Amino acid sequence: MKKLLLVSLCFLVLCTTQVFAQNRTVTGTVTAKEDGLPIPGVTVKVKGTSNGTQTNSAGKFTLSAPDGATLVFSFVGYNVTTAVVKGGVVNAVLTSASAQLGEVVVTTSLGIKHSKAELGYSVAQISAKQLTETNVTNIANGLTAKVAGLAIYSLDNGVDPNISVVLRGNRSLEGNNNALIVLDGVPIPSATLNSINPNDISDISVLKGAGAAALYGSEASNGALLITTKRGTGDGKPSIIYDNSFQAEQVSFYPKLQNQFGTGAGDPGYVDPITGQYLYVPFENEQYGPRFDGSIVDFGNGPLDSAGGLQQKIKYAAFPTSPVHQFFVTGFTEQNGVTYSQGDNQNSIYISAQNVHRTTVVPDDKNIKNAFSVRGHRTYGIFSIDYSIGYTKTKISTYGQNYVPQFAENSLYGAVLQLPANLDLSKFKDPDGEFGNPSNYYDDYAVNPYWIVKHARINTDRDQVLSNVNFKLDPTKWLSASYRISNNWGVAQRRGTSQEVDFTPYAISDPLGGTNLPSLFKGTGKAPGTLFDSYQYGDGTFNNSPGAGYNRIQGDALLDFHHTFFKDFKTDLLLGNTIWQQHLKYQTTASNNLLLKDFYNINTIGGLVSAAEGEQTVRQIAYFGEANISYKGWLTLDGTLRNEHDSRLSAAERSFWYPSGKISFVPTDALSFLKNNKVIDFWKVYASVSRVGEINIGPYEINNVNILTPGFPYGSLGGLSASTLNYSPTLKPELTTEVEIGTDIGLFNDRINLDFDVYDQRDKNQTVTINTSIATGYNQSLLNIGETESKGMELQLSGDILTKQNNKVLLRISPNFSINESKVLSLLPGVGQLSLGSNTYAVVGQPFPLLKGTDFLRSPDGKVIIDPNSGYPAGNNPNLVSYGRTTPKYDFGTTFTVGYKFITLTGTVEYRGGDVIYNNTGQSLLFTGSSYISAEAGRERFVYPNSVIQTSNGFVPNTNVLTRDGNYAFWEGSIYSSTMQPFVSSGAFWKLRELNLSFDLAQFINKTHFIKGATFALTGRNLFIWLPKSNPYTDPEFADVNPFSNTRGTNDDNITPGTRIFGADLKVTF
Amino acid sequence: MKKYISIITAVILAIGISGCKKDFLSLEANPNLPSQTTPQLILAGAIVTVPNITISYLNPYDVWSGYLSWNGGVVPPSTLFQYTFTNGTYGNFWTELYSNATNFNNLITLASKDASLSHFQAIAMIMKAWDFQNLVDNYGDVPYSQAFQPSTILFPKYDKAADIYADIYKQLDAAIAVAGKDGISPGASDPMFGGDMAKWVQTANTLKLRIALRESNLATGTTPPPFATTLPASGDGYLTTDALINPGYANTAGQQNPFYGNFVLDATGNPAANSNVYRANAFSVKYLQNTDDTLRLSRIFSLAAPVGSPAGTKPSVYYGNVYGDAVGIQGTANVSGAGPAFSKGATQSSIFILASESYLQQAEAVERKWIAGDASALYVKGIEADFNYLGLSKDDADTYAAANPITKNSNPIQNIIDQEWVTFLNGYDSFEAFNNYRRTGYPNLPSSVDPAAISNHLPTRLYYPSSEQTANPDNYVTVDPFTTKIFWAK
Repeated sequence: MKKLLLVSLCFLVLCTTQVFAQNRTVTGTVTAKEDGLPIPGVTVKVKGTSNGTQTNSAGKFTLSAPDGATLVFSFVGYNVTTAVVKGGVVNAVLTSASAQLGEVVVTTSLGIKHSKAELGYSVAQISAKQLTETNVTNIANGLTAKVAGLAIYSLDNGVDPNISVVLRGNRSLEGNNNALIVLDGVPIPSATLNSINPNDISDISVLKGAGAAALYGSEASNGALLITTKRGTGDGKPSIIYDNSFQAEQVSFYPKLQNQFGTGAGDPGYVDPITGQYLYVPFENEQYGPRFDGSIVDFGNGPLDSAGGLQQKIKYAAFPTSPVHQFFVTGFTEQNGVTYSQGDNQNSIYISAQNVHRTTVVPDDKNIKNAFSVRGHRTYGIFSIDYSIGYTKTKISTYGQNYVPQFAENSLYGAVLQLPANLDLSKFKDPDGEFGNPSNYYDDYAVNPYWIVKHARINTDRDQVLSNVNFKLDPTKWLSASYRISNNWGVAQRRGTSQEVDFTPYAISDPLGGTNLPSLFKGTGKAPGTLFDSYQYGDGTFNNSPGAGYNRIQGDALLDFHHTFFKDFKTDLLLGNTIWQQHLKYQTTASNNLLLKDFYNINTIGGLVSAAEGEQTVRQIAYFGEANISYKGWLTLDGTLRNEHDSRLSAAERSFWYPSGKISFVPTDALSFLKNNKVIDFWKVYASVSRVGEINIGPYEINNVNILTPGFPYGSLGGLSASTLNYSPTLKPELTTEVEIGTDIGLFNDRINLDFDVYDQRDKNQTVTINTSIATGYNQSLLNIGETESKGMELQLSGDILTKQNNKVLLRISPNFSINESKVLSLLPGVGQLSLGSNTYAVVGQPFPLLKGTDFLRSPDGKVIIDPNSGYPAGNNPNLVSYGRTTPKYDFGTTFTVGYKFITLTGTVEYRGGDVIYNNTGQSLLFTGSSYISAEAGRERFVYPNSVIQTSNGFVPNTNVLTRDGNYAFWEGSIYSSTMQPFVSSGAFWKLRELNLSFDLAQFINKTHFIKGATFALTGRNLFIWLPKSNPYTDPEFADVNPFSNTRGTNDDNITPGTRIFGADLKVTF
Repeated sequence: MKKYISIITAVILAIGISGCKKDFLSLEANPNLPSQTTPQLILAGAIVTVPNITISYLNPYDVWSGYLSWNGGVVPPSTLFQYTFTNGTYGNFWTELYSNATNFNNLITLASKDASLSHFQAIAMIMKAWDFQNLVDNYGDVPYSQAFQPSTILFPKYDKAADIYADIYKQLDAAIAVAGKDGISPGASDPMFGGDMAKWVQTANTLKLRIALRESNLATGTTPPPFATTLPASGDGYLTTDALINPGYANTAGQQNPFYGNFVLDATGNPAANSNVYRANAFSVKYLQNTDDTLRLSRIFSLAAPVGSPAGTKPSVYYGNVYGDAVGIQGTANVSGAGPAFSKGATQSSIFILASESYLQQAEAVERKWIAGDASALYVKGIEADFNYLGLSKDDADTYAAANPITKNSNPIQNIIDQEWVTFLNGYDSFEAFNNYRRTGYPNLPSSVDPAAISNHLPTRLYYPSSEQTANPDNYVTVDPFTTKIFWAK
């Protein structure tokens, strides 16, 4: 009987469909009155029926309706508009509704949508358009400078850049300060951002504070980014978008280099004994030789063989292009993407495929990414399923290490900076060629950079699968239940190889007696090839930053009760449970002693395999709830509570409670005299208090361990030593208490919107690895100590200065500004200072991380005291000097849009400042002698600027004591180059982050039915950078530390110079 | 609909229940590194680390003891040539010695709870005493009584150096007592003596004598330091054979004999890193030549090509660079490196204490009338033992000893110390040679000739390391490394 009923139901459905099929097909475009741009996502319904659809990304819709029917167009923030069907085309123009701001719906924790009026905390929403304006290959780049309080740090510009996402500055001294990133409800590590196709993003919600993200608990104590991917929308008809972009990348900023002096070092034996002048040394790696004179000189290590073969010659004059500039190339990125989407309110499917081929400024480095994803949703009555699966394959190839074990840490860029200005680098391009090969290379102490590029490679393969499925049940109006299960899984493989080098006997004999590199291999005449292989089973990355690198399986159960009592009390109660497990396993094998040239296999080696393996598991169970009561929409109270049990903590310390409370009030709705005000459309004030813990303890960091003693095992003899890091089972999470107050204001018909907030975060129980006296038995102890404060303000403005409707020209400016102040309130009793690594410290009462380092002895008015005999700085201040914080205090960004007819120009500018950086690069430049500063005085003796001499009568300005040497002995051999102060500069910069000139070609191709829309754009990123004079070295954003550590602020020659990107993009919608 | 609800409920329950299992969150045990260990593993690891410390971290003493100097071709560091080292230089000694002492201390704690582990306990007590004598000789006052209590004392106070000396002497006596008890033999986990406790007792006595003699300047007349009341008479109470360490060194990266892997050849067969950095010191080469000690010279150092000869010339002379001379400095081909006695192969044994030192120390103690014995005979035995270690014959030793008797010059103690200095030319004992110099002034070791050197004499000690300045600031002491002396120094 039941079966029969079902069958008849099916018939009924078919019949209904049949009825609608008699209607005609209506198409149209919905645009906004203000700017004339199409609006996607507008709900279009046939009045009096349930028949409806939504506009697609081009603002177009198609649906069936009889002639004379009324279509209702509705969209959040716009007045409802109606139109009567007459013929096949119905276009609509929507005007923005007053008081719209409060009705804007934003995605908050766990994907729950709230209107902005109800929020007691700061949330910023970034649309797909804002994100992908300049065809970023990485989502994070598209977010840069667009949200107040959100700082994106691109820590290098290689083919596989490390990116760190920080909200509201640093709280934790040594722990994680990176925001949680949630993709469709699933936490992912920021490294995984690289693997997501930015074109698949629908929008991103930025939950700035701990309070906003309190429901996510300890993982979101640094705020959260909620990324929602696209689903198929519209009228049920398929839409296909093809997107092609092509970008070129060039070095935008080189350090200033000298081009007047060639190779030489003032080494013993290379100084004229009579004049004291530095002589030309044809095989030297440092550029402290005599001034270029245009003569032709011998170059390199003498003749190329013992028979007196070819002798290299070189013109002793600067080559027109610096060899440093000659080395870097133009990189290209080509992106091809196709998306197919189809769907309506009930069912949808979205399929995207993307191929990105990227090369960069370093020769031969490349990154090839293929991403494929399918997502969609289906509805069966009260039951619905939403699913998403994405697979990304990334192949990355970068340069490896040189062949000299003692210099293995020497970087490629370091080798490039050693090239003297008179070099025509093209002669050395072939690392196996006559002049380029390791035996004949001119430089006795450095490796040909082209050898590193060609013969030492690190190839990384990443296979990443991100998947989740969400089952949802809406049995009644007041209850929905859902269960989501998600998995982030992948395999990362890496192989590093460097080729065996066979030296000629002549080169090994060290013909010029300078202990050249080949002579280091005189035992065997060869540097054996090396090999390492790594595998990590986790999320497909090798990342070991907090939460990254792990396979993650998560289950979220949610019950959402919502009901309105007595007409005016809208209530929401959310109850949930989350269980997740993270697991990773890795294996590495390596050998530096391959037996055969060009045969890379770990079975064919001399000596023993160096091998390692390990695995880590973390589990957490959490229960949480949120209650939200809103009175008439203008007074909202919200409370959350979360309880967590985490496996990283010992059983006694495992359970934690995290509460939060928020209130928001909308005077423009509540107070009658403010209603229908012509100036202020919307005004909200809000406040929140929250407490969230953060577990900055890795797995297994509560019990002390023993490690294999170096060298063991010898045969069957094993040896274990106590680890020098002391753990404690009483470790607890850090606790962040945040207070936030803010206001949102909409003015002049919402043409000007202003969001302003201030916050104060106190982070106590800092989980800190303090250096302890080894006499305690341990070098370091992991402890809960101290408290920090991080407070600041965020201001986000957006203004429609001119609109197309009134002015024909569109001008919109959206500036944002934030200030963050950090301070260490306390450390361990009796301890006023803690080293955080990389010359940074936490000092009680000071901002953190604080750069401290050596400085010269100075007179009370700050002048450098010099030694009256040598003319050199007299010595180092025995105490380290504080230079300032290494994280920006001020961040200003602004996006502007100018539109006229079908042309739109969009740009983003950013300023960061209030921080200092330590340019270790400057010391590398001095070491190589390529530093511009070192040649400013013509390598002659000079009076140290602004210096004083200490006499019995006090400090006398030094006007005539020359430095004993104006060459190598001063610039590299004296206290000058080993002191930090000359290399500390302001970290401030202005950058033109993005520029996009786009042409909407839709009006020119409207006639064809096949193509529905097309845009063409010229794009540029990081086109210009302006730096203070004190920094002639590099982009201050780059840092040579673990990208996820908090000690950024030091750069060195491991970081290649900054780049600019420009390109073109064509997008066609079918 | 009911179906869906029941499915969802079932799934949630299934996961919830699995999550609620008692051990779901109990993941304290580290699967990668063990929290547990055994006395055998600690002992083997800690003993094998000892020669790594003396070889890898005590390099300035190789130079200051006149054994090695800087090689040409690499710009000499001003820290070495001009003594501009700071509290951030050479800090590894402190760290490595304390780490090693930590492991022996852990073994003492573990073994003292189990009577059957008495032999492990005794060895650990002896080696811990060695660590602390080295710490005192490097730094003077150091943490001792408050050391190794991380849960209660994060900032350990420094004990008086002399008090530590007295206590480690006492600990060595205690160790000898414990060694006499029955217990499990450490066997192969003792890579020095294979568990032969008689030899460990000899080692303990030799170390006791080393400690006592170090205080020779404080002793009055013929009385040894007050704590040194248990020194045996010369003879079998002290080491009669070389105390060598060999866990099974192999010609594999990281498993080579530490001297060989640092100063001779690396595992790929190319010159080891330090062999291009440190070469023979002119002082030691000339000393051996001037004393007609050519046999030992030929075993200690390798031949080099004459200075100024063209590349590829056959090595035919012994040559060393003058410490601090940046102008006349010569490169690898023209300066002697490690000789045949020390470049036998990657599997050669490491030195802990040579029998020659044992005999020569006894000779000195007899000379000082602290213990009974025949100083001259002990002196000859010392020379014989050194010739033996270098692979030379007893006859050659006796010939040499006859030409260079203990009475060669008026001060027999100087002769003994000079002989000790020669036996210390091995890479492991440079610090002992430097200690003898600081105690007695013999031989008259050269300081850097670099005109920019900030001192005209050798340093008297090192700075306390910067790690103490940051991690134990209240107890950190500022010292002058050219005037502050270790309490026993002359």
